[in-house]
Amino acid sequence: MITLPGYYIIILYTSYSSLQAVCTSGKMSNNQENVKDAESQATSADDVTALSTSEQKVKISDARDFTSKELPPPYAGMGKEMVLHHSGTPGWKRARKILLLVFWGSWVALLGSVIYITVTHPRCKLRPSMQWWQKTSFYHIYPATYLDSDGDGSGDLNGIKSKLDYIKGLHVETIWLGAFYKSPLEDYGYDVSDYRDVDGRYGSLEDFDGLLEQIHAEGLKLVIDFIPNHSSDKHTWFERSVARDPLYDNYYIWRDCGTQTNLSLPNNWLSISGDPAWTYHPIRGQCYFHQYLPSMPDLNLRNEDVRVELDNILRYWLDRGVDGVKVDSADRLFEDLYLRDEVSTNPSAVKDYDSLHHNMTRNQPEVLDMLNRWRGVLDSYGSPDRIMVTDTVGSPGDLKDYYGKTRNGGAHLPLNHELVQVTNVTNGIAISELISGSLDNLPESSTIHWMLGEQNGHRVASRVGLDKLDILHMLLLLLPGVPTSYYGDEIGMTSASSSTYLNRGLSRSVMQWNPDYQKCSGFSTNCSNILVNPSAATYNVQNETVDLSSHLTVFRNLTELRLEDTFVYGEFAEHIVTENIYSFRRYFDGMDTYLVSINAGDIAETVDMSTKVVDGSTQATVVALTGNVTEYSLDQEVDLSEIKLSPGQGVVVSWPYVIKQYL
Amino acid sequence: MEKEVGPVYGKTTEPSKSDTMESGDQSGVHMKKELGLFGAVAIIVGTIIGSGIFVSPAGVLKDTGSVGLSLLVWIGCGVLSTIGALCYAELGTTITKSGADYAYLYEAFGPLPAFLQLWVNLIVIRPTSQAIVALTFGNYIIKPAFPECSPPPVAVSLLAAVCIVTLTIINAMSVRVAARVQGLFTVAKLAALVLIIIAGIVFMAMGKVNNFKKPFEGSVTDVKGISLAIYSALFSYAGWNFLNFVTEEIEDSQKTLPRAIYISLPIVSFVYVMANVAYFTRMDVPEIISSLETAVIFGNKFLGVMSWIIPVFVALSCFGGVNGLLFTSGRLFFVGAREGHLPEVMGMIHSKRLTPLPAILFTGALSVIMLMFSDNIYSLINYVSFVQWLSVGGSIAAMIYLRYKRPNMDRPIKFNIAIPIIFIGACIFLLVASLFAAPRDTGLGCLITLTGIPVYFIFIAWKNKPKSFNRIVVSWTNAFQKIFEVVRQTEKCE
Repeated sequence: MITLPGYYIIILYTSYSSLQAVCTSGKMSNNQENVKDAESQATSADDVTALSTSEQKVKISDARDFTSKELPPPYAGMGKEMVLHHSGTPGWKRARKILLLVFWGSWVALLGSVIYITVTHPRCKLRPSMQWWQKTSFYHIYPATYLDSDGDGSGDLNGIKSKLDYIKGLHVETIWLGAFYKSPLEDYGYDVSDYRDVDGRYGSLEDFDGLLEQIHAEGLKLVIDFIPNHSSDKHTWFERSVARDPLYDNYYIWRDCGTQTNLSLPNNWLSISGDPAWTYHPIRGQCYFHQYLPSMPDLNLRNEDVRVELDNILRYWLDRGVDGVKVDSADRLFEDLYLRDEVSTNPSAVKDYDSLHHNMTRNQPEVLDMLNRWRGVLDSYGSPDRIMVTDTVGSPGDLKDYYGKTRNGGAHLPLNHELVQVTNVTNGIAISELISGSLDNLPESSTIHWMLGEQNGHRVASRVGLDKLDILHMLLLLLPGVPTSYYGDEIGMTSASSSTYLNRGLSRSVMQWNPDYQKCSGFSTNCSNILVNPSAATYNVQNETVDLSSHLTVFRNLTELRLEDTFVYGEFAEHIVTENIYSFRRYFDGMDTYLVSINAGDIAETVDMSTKVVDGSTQATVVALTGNVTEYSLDQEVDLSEIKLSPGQGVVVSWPYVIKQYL
Repeated sequence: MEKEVGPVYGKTTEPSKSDTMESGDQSGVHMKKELGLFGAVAIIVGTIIGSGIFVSPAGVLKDTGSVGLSLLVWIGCGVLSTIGALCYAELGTTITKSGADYAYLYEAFGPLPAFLQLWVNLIVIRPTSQAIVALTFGNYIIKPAFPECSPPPVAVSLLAAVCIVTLTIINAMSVRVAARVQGLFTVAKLAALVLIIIAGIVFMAMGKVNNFKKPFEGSVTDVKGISLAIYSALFSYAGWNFLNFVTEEIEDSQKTLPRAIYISLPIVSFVYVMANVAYFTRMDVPEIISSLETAVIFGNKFLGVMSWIIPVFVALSCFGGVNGLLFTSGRLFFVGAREGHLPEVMGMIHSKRLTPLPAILFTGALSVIMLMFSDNIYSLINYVSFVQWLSVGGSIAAMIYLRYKRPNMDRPIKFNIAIPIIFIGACIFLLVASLFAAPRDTGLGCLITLTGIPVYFIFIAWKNKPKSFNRIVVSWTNAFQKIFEVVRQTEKCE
């Protein structure tokens, strides 16, 4: 029994070598000699005794003894009997058991962790369901200066209608039509004398209906200006109120204020021109309040009759089919009930509008109730949503309230003027602060709005310079939310040289359709009193349509790009921000990722944009460029680790969603 | 002590049931011939049809540009693969050892080229292929829980690990069960493809033939596009030489091996072409090109509430694919070790189960390790595709060389010399094309291969290694033997 292992070695190797001798066909290299060596060594008496005396250390010593006589490789290993003998000892049995246990244990652990991760991992991010207005883009048109179709020198509704093809080609989806109501036009039509009619210069109600029908036929939407804060002093309401018609007596905000020669105004409030906000009316013998011009008296929204009138006007246009209203001057709808004085910002300062804190004439709590009431009117039209956009002045923090405090309260989209504040783009960090300021103040599940230009004040191309227009359009159109583009900004129109009351004419020069600025650039056939900016020779629709690096082409590329799902549904994350560079990513589960980078500064900079921490992408395809980029071209593959941008240059690149598990 | 020794003694003197099929020698241990014709066909069909035909026939379509040309490429590559497989039928019956390319290169050109082939397979090709197919399996299994987005990568990797570990266990436990698994899953994947093909035929009968009206509209005409298309189509056919890795385990291999090849390649070619035809009945060219999961999208169009069935079949197909890869990998490394090219222990088989347990465990473990680098394995497999074609080309060259050098070898099957020459021409074309198309990847692939040369000279060619080294090797080998109960296969006289 004791000598059994040694015996088996002999048996095994004898049989092995004899087998080798017979069956050589299957072997490519012959190790017969090695085996014979082993045989002779294994049969020596030394081994047998060594094995027989070291029973207790069989595991280790056996193997050592067996090999100590220098078996040249390849070593054939132990034979079956030896192996079975050793493997049958308790130590190896236990070791094998433990190994098996570890093996099955880890198998179960693997399966368990798969199940655990699958169960606990957040479910798929579904595309949020969005209403049309959450993914739309506005194109703001001032009707008087877009296109004159009848040669009377004023733009009109039919002019707009004839340019719907152009508008559709801009990939914008909602036309926001500036004031077109009957008006003496003392403030560009925002002094309305009849809320239910179209001003003759712009056309007729039939023209309006025709335009709206065509807009809808093109798959576009129409949002109109709704001006409830004030009317024109030519409105019959005002005339009857002046005459103290009992029905209209309280339609406006009247207060006793002494006599024409000895005025004692109710308080220190100022209109935005810097003059007192109260004007004495000699016929009625009282002062009326006006936030704007004296010819634009504020309606008294605390009067239920006025509110009913306004509800009906709203319904009047909604019944015609408009898709929404922009509530003009929404922050000024109410003033302090007790007419308390406003505090001066700086007592010694010049007496202009900004010399007072307008805490009594703006953002009053009643405003929100009023908006909620109109929202109710809009919501009563059911689906698709008729929307309310509010136009207010203030910080992003002020905007919060206008989203409403309940789910169906407030405005759908309060206009966000933050980007309009950009007058001097030289710093990526400043842009970052501006944008995060707006985004941080956005109430949950609300939609943010962006705009670059508006009808009051300078045009964006004049504020920031034409060389930085494209990068701002990149921000406007590719940031999350709804953008508004002011007509003419897409071709880089600059401010008009001459202006009128409060610079309100600067942004209201006529649309530059063709280079012939002597003949008002295609705006009208009757150019006698129309001034066109000479820059129209370069910046006009006709030329820019065919120029592949023009502002218009860049704009169109960007508006088309924003139709991609990633821009509609995608998340937003700032990427690299430096003194010069501002960049952000748009991404969503399962969709292409986009990286938008602009150089807002004055120095060229090369930045490593590779997304090591995000998804490991280092290569990307260029999908959009500003007109001044020559280093890159569309569809080019670029190395993200080295993106070079000169001042005013911007580039949008994309790469496929990283799904490593697909083959 | 008596108690412990007893059973060992008893077992060896009274062979257990599993031992009875061995040769008369009671200590003889060698693998049995478990593969019949069905099993052999399952190995070929089951490994060729991985996930490619379900997931993305887009590659070929994108590079050819038209329905007609892409179908022609699929047919042409089917024919080409069949020609290659015929050559392997001759090789497999002439050189009856397992190991395929490795054995043939060894036989014709000696140990170094054979070792390099083994080396690349050992460290890159086998583990990465197994890992990739397992990852696809994991993704499809877990996908229903994440319908709209990609599942968490960790879970997919872990599931792939579960797949590899499970199949490693099966392959280590029993050759017969592994062969059954292969057969079962091959039937499953064929069933799924037959379903798709029948749906395609029904749609055609219903008149959905718009895509076939102008089949060659949009065809590319440049050589590059067509080469790329051929390359990716051939990639889908890859695996037709897999049966040759297990020649020694085929019952009556001289007859079964060629028969299995004659049956399998036409089946695969037919199924591939018809599945593509089916896709074209309901999907437009751009839709197919942009789809990541062509079969799933196609399934959604006619299966309705049963559309989950396609992803399940894709997962099963991948599972079977991993099994086929592990099965053949085990044999390749087993043969390599038997020739002294890998540590002795890799060439051992389990004393009772008669499976090449160490080789299977090793390749399974390496595959699981590869899963940890799942970011890089896709590029790794790209690098070595050049080497794979080099190895196939080398094997065919070996065949021609042996015809000339050893004309009197016993060749039960002998094709016209034109057959291997046609195929070697195709191989040269592919090698040159990839050299031009992706010189960097090709270079890296060669570099990886060449790392085998120092390994060869240190571990194999150098015979007089220090005693201490040998001692360590021996003690490790013994330890492995004891814990896994594996022994060297004894030669079997026939």
